[in-house]
Amino acid sequence: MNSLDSRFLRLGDCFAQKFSKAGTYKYIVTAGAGSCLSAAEGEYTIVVTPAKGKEKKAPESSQHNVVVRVKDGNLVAEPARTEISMSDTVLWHTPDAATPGFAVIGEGKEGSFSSGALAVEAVYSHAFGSVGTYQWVDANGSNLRGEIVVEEMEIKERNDCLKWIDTLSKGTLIHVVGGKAEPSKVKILTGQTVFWAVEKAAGISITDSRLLVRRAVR
Amino acid sequence: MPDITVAVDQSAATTLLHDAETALGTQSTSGGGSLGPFSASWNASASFSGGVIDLLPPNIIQITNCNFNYSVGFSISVDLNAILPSFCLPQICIPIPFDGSICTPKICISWPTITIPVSYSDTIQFTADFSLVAHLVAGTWLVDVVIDGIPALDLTPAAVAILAAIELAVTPILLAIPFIGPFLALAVDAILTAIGIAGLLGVLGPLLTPFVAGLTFNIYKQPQVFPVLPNVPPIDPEVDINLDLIQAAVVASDKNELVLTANISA
Repeated sequence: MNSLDSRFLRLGDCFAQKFSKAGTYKYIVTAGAGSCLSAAEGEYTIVVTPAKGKEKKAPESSQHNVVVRVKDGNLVAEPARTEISMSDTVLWHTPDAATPGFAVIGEGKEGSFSSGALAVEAVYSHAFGSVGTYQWVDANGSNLRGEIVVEEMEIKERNDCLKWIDTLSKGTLIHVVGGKAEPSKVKILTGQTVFWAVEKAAGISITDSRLLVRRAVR
Repeated sequence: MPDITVAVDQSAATTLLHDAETALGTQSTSGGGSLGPFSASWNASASFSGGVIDLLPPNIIQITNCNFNYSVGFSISVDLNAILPSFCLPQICIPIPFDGSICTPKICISWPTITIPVSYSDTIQFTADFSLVAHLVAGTWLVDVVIDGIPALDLTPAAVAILAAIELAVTPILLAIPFIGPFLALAVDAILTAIGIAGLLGVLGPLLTPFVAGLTFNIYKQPQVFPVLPNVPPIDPEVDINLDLIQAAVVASDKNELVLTANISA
């Protein structure tokens, strides 16, 4: 499975959230759609400490990775508790193809976050594994949309393969602010990754429109 | 001197053969094992039709151009990790408008195990010598035509066709696997090369040969004891006839004939 859907993160997907306000955040990882679940009693914790010194912001923000995988039949996030400084970013991902699609949903006194409802200073990335044209939409109902064209690089000899592998380390950014996503159309090669950096939005998802067809038909 | 003698010519014997082929019906078998470096399960079914009998004294029945109709099905399990290089998406760092930059972790792809279903049907014509065997089994006399030796079945065209079918079947399966695109041609070549014509022949031969090895057509069947009714019922009672012995042979006369003789007792 390599579907484009921030509501169900899988191998090849990442969700990152920047924490600009100090406080304690609880979160859950859930294999269900989960948007209506409360994260207040979540078993995982992020503690955001204020920046030290006179500056309100840490001089350099850091990234902290949380791995999500299945253990004993349950989805677990490791580490369960993450302590970060204000303005740091936490990134969730799974290294295991067997991990089912999951969502990360958290909340604290200073705000909430969700991979299925990207709102403020959140990032969703997806590595595209198959050729095709992907119309992405917001499954939560806004008019945000865009198009990703994924092409195959023709590989005839070893050098072509090396060139292709080299392209994989280059990501493509789509910047979302309010109701606008720029650029609206990007063209990439198989295996390349697109990042949606959501600076401020009304809780959007990044979802392949084909995944919503069934609901629309009903 | 036998009590009963029945003779049929080549044309009638051929009719008996075709009836026997129909009665034999479709036989099937299944199994599994290695197909090249991969594991596979398979099944096969076969039937016989057509053919012309030549009666060759003293005891040879040659069947010419008998159709061996068969179908084979394979389910080949291929662990792609065994044939494709390990592959990882590298770490990607990208500047983010509201943060310095963000980096994805290196993501390694574990290739899945795929199952390739392939089926193939064909007909092979063969010519073989058969012997006549009359024998008593559980109170029933049977006259069988039993193949002598094992006819050579040329399965090479089938192996070539099945390999082509595997190529056709595997391509869409591979296309559905994320990130395999650039390795697609490599994967197809690796699978086909690993199985190979020789690999298929190594399975097809043992799978199909048992259908023809020991091939037996039953052309006559009669209970050893059977009642005979009198012409005029009130005068003579029903009598049980015992077939003490049945013999079958190909006999040369003005035209070669298949002759059955029987000794009976009441």
